[in-house]
Formats: sequence, C-alpha cells, structure tokens
Amino acid sequence: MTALRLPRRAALAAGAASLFAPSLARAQGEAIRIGVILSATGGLAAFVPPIRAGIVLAFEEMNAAGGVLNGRRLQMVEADDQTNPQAGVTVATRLVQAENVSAIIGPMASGITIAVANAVTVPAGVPIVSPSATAPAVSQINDNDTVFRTAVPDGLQGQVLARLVREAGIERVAIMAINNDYGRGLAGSFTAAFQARGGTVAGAQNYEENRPSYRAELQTLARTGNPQALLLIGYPASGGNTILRNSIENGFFQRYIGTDGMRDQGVIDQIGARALEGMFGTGPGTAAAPERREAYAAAFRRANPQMDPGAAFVAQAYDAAYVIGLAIQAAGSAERAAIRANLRTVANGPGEVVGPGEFARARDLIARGAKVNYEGASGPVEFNATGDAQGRIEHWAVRGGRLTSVAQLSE
Amino acid sequence: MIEFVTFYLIPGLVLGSIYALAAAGVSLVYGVMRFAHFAHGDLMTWGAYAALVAVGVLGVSPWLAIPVAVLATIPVALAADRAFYAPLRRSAPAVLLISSFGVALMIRALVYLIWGPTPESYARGFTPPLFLGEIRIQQRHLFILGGALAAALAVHLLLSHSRAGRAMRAMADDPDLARVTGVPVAGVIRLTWAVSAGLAAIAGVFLAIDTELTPLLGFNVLLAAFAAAILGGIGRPWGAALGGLILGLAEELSSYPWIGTAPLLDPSYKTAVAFAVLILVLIFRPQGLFKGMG
Repeated sequence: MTALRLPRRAALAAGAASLFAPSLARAQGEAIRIGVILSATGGLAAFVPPIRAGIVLAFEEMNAAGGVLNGRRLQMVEADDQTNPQAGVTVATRLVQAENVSAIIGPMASGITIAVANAVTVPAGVPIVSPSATAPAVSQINDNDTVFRTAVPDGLQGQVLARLVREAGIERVAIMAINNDYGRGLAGSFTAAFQARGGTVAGAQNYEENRPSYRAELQTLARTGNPQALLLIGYPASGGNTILRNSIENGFFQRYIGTDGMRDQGVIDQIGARALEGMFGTGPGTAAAPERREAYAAAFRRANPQMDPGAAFVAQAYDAAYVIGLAIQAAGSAERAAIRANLRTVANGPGEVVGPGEFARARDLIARGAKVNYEGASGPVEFNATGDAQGRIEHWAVRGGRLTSVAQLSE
Repeated sequence: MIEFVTFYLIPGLVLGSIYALAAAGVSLVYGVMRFAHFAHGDLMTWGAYAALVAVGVLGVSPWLAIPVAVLATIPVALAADRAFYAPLRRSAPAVLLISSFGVALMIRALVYLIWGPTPESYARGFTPPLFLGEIRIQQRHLFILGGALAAALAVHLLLSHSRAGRAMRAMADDPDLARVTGVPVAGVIRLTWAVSAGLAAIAGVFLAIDTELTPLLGFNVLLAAFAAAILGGIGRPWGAALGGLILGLAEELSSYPWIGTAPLLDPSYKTAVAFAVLILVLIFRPQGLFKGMG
C-alpha cells in the first residue's frame, strides 16, 4: 500500500498517518475492496440514503467483529450511476479495472444491472449482487453465474399484484409504466397474471422519464376502455410524482395502484395524504424470521435513528453485503472467482443458520469447518440456479397518510 | 374542443412559455459571448431551490419568492463567469462549452449537497382548477402564462429601448466593432449574465411550480431550450422565445387524436417531436426562423 499506487484523492483521504505506517497496514493485510454502485443521483436517488446506510451497517458490523480472512477490513468503494445505464457502465469499468474491487453490490435499477453485467462484470468475472434489480430479464443474462440478486424478481410481484387488484374488486386498469426494463417487465408480468384472473388492461402507456407534463398520456388512458384505476410503475423523482399530480388535479383517475418503485413515504408527503388515501400496491417483502428481522432493525435504528429499516430494498442491500462478506470468509480468499463460487455455499441451506449481526459466530463456524447458511434481514436468501433470491412480496397501502405494510405474501 | 383546449393547448402553451424563457436566456448568452451555455439548466434548478428557501423561511407563496430566486441566481452566474469563463474568453467556443458543462455539474452537486436528492414541492395538496366558461385552467397556469409574457416584454424593452440593451445588441452583431467604438464590454457581459440568470431563475421557479423540485429539474429541459434557441435563430432572444412556444405546443399537440380516436403520435415519443421539428428547420431554414448567427 504505497502512496504512489493510490489515486491522489484516496491518498489524501487516507491521511498521512497510514502512509507513514505501511508495516502496520501490511501486518493486518490490505483492506478488501467491495464496489458499491447506487443511483445516488437521478430518478432513484430518493431511495438511496437508507439503502446505503444498510450496506454501511453490514460492513461496519463485519469489520467490528474482526473483519474477514484474519483481520482484513472490508472497504466500500462507492460509485454513482446517476440512474443511467451509460454512467453505470462507466463507473463499473472504473471499479473493476482501476479500483480492482473483488465484488460489487448493485446497481439498483434492472436496466443498469443488465448493462453493467453485459458490458463489464460478466467479461471480467466480477460477481455482482443487486439489492433491487427486479426485472425478470435479469435472470436471462448469459452471466457465467456472476449475477445475483437479493431482490425477488418481478414475475412474482406481477402475480401478487394482479391478485390484490382483483381482490380489491377492480376489473379494468390502465397502466402507466416507465419505458425501461423494469417498467416493461413488470407491466408484462402483471398483464399476463391479471388477464388470467379475468381482468382487463384497458390501456397501457410506456412513458418517457423526466417530462414536465404527462397530461396527454393520462388523458388518452383515462378515456380508453373506462378504467377503474391507474397502475403506475415508475420511480418518484423521474416522473412518478408528476404523473400522480397531473392525474389527481385533472380528475383523470380515482384510484391508484403502485409497485416497489413508488413505495416511498416521500411520495405521500409530497402529493398529499388525502388524495392518495387508499392507494395500495406491492413491494419487496420480508420472509425473515421475526427475531432475525428484529436484530437487523434494532441495529439499523441505533446507527440511523432518522431512517426506516423497513424502507424499500434496505434489508436486501444489507443482506447483499453480508453474503459477500461470508463468501469471502468461506472461500478463504478475496479472489473474484472464489467469491462467486461461495455465494451459494453461504446463502443456501443446509448448514448452520446464521443471521444479521452474527458475523463473528459465522466466522468461527467456518473456521471449525462447518457450513453456514445465512438467513438474512429480508428473508432466507436462497439463491436459485439463476442467482435470484426467493422471497416474499409485501402488500402495502396508504392508511391515514402513512405507507402501511399490510401483509407479506408468497403467491 | 373543450378537451383539446384543457388538456392539450393550455399545457402546450404553459410548457412553451417555460421553454421560451429558458431559451431566451441561452440565446442571449450565445449572442453576446458566442458559446452554448450548458449550465443554464442548472441555473434554473438553483433559482427554483432558492425560491424554496424563501418559501420556507419567509412563508410567502412561490410567486412572491421569484425576486429572491432571481437575486440568488445572478451572483452564481457572475461568479461562474469571473472564475471560469472570463479566463477563457478568447478560447474556442468548444472550450467554453465544456467549461460550462463543468460549471453545470458543480451547481448540481451543490444542490444535491444542500437539499439532497428527494423531490420537494413548494406546497402540499391541490388547488381545484378555475372554470372559464367550460374550459378548466389551473390558476398557476394563468400566472405562468402572464409571468412569461411580462418577462418577455421586459427583456424586449431592455434590448430595444435602453442604452445598455443597444450595447448588448451591438456586441451581438460585431464584438470587435463594438469594442473599438467604446462599448463597455465588461459591463455588457455582466448585464447579459444578470438578465440570462434572471430569466433562468424565473423559468426554474415556473417549472418547479408546475411539476416539483428535483436536482435535475432544469437540466431535463436544457436540450429543449437549446432546440428552441436554434429553431428561433440562435442569438435572437425573441426568436428563441417563439421557438420555445412552438416546441412546447408541438410536443403536446402531437399526441392529440387529430385523426380518429387514437393519439396521432404515441405520447412516449413526445420528446422526439421537438427534435424532429428542429431537424426540419435546420434542413429547410438553417439560419432559424429569425436570421440567427453562425
């Protein structure tokens, strides 16, 4: 770890002390660099602060417990993909080639995950674990088994949502879906499941992000096929809020249905609780055992009193960091291929079950030659053949101005 | 017919007015300093957030916060000019363009730093629309149309009837000739920035009133503003304003069901309409609607 090999900024940040004490650093081994690609700016930015806090919490817990591989620290190398696939590919290239990360957490959006995987991480053999890419298409990447996600794919979300909508007595819906892999994928899986249950999609529009007005789209949808509700599949800051505003103001729709992308208390705070009362939808659920969930939630609240451990994809992000840390420990190496080969080993059963905050115990078990099975804050985190976690879908609703969790559903 | 006016024509006019204000500022800077100012969109964002502070601190409506927004945005433009553009004044336009892109990123980073990425709005809840006969119109849309008209008139009076405005036009026509005939170049440049930043702030507040505040608020309409400026003839503020109106109307009206009951053009392609119009103009009237400068 010489100053010359570090980028200048990193050297400045590391401070003079570490530069003058290289022997100490070497004794404990170099920090293991884990890339973290989040959408800190752009359409998904509002989701990032709690998600990032979840990842930081997981790394801090693991480092406080003594780190991995005989005291080596896990170090986050952060990058912002600007909610933009091109920017995602650029920063991923930097993480993989210049920062030499062992694995990557993220990106958040499905389209960006697919772009980053195809262009950068699959060719380089870097394992990536997205906490929130939910599009079915992510399973179909020809990925050499390097792409994982702790999020539950939208195939399940679409089915659950279709059932909830029918059970709410709604037969005809109009769909506004963001024009990307996530929006098209989820709209497709919802439509198939909804029609199978006897529902009708009165009209569907893929909308372009960041437009100042969506009145024309909404007007077209509202008068096609007499829809009873609007299903909005999008992100709050890149058009979702504007669509709700335009629609409510002009009285285009009376009922609103959302998905994980709009599952944010901020939406209700911005648009007004009265107009959105009764809105419902689906989001990432938790299938975690209550005591594991509570261990995580308590630790998260201690570290971040202002943030909600139940916010969308936060537990999934925490779990992504944990399975990477455990995979390094189980592999006995921070090599990319070794991490990739051990992600399933530590996440899937059978094995000694370890949970959030139990990194030290997991390490001792691994040292004794036992196999561990991580059961996390978001669910049991069992990766299937395509690297997708199996989990639950949350049914949420707006009640009394608060985004309220109604049920955790598995079908 | 009622539907056409309420949901297509009025939104088109409102969007067009916002584009017009943004484009006039871009065009003014181009006219006097000969470079495409990429930070204009982020100046709009800055103005909108400055008004948010005024709304929060003073408890006034966003309309009354507009002067605060203008006063908060002008120093940013002047500081950027002093620190980054002035030393490059004699460089190629591309160099200035790239440096203005850097300034844009700096302003945006500052907005993220101060206000964070979460969308904000000036007011919660909704106001029911006004009814003019059978036509529904939001009160804020009337204000935006009126405000844009007033701002355009003020700029017109400044450019055509004041000494400073004549100096600006002289600079735009021939900078070297203006200099040798004693036009105070530094002062004209400062005034240009002040007017351009003021227009940006007004456009930003209008846009934020009609949608919501995000750190990408202004940047998202920057390309449309440039398209409007080129459409009207770059360097001609009036042309830019007209170009903005045309683009706003073209975008919204393109999805009206002119033939049959389906939208003429799928609304998700609205953004492309602006650029299709632009390309047509560049092919058939490359100097823009009003004769622009090269």
